[in-house]
Amino acid sequence: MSKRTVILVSLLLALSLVFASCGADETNINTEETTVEVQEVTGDLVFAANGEDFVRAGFVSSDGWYITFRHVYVTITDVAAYQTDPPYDPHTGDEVSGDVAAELSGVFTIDLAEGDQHAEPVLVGILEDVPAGHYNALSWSMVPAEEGPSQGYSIYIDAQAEKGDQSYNVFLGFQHGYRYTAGEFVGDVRKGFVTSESAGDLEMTFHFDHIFGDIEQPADCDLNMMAIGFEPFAELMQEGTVSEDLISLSENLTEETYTKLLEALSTLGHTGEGHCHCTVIQ
Amino acid sequence: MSLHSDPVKGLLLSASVLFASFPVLGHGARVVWEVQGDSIHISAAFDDGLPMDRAQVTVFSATEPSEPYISGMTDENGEFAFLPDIEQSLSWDVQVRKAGHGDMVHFSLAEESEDFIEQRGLTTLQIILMSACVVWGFIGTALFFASKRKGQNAHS
Repeated sequence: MSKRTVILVSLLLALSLVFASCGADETNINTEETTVEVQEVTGDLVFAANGEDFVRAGFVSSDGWYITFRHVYVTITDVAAYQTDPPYDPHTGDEVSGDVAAELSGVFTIDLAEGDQHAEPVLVGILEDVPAGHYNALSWSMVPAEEGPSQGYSIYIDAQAEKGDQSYNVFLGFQHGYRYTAGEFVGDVRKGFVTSESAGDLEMTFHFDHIFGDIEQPADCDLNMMAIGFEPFAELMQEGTVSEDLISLSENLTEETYTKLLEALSTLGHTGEGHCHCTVIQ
Repeated sequence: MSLHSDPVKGLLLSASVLFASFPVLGHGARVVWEVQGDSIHISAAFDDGLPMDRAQVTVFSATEPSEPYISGMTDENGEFAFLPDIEQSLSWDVQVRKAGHGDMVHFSLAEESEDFIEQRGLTTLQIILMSACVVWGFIGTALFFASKRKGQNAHS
């Protein structure tokens, strides 16, 4: 091989490396540019509420009571979705804010027990023509209903609890109001993507196993340690019926159990399996 | 029946709760990430500190945010690692879920050290060319010694 050939091949390789390095930089720049265009178009955003199968199909509490729900009313208001960058982190406890916000006005009393275990989450409302993009944060309030079957309560449960030969009608009303702020939906699919071709959807999820516990989870797991089960309510039964609200429960439950109940109530709100920051508002 | 009890008591209750208003996150999960060599290391734990073992992990890149880049499971220590394709994206979202608990962590590698970007940022073309350079180096060295030996033989 001649000296000239060696020098020529070496030069070619060196030049190729220089061009390849420049090419790699351009790739990164193009990646950054793709995100900007989406804001120009609009689409629809669907808000749903979900009590999950616990509420629609019933479940066994941590202390062995089989609870089925005829109605679980929650009253929701001040619903808003946001496009946040950086993504909102509920662990910080900060107020959620974003460059783009879409607000659903109105007060909605929803029956989370509507439908069977195959039912879809309950539709709360649809916002049309919101700016396209990824709505990766959500906030809402739960307040006492001013009218209807759950008047006076933010959460009203109409259920049946059974254990062995015991079977009780259960009516539980909770008056407190809560403000929930959540980041992105955590679940089987990612939610909140609004495009001109397809609507985005967001979900306010309520985990009622936080109150009663879940026998399918280990007894010493975080969830069952937090829940009070159903036994403390069963002990308040009169003539086959448990009918209590927070006022009577504050008088009839032990201080420790009542405090645990208040804590569990504040953790009901989720978005899918993603936890919310919660503030008790009334 | 205790429902719909005295509204005055209700007002008192509301007032007491207002005084007691407090922010609550409740039980939950926490996912953290860090760069380890050329991969991203994910660590997930419940709020009580127990690791989220055998939890479902889904990784998304910012360029295809609704399609999983990779899915898997944490090990017994709640840990998971993956190699991000930084040609595809520098921003990543990782979701970890188990038994009704879940959390999502979002991070950008743009702020990471240039070493990591360089380490993971080589294109296929660059790798081929670098390999060619190494091979060419060996050939060049061999040719150098061959020509030297030829020169010595010529002298002798």
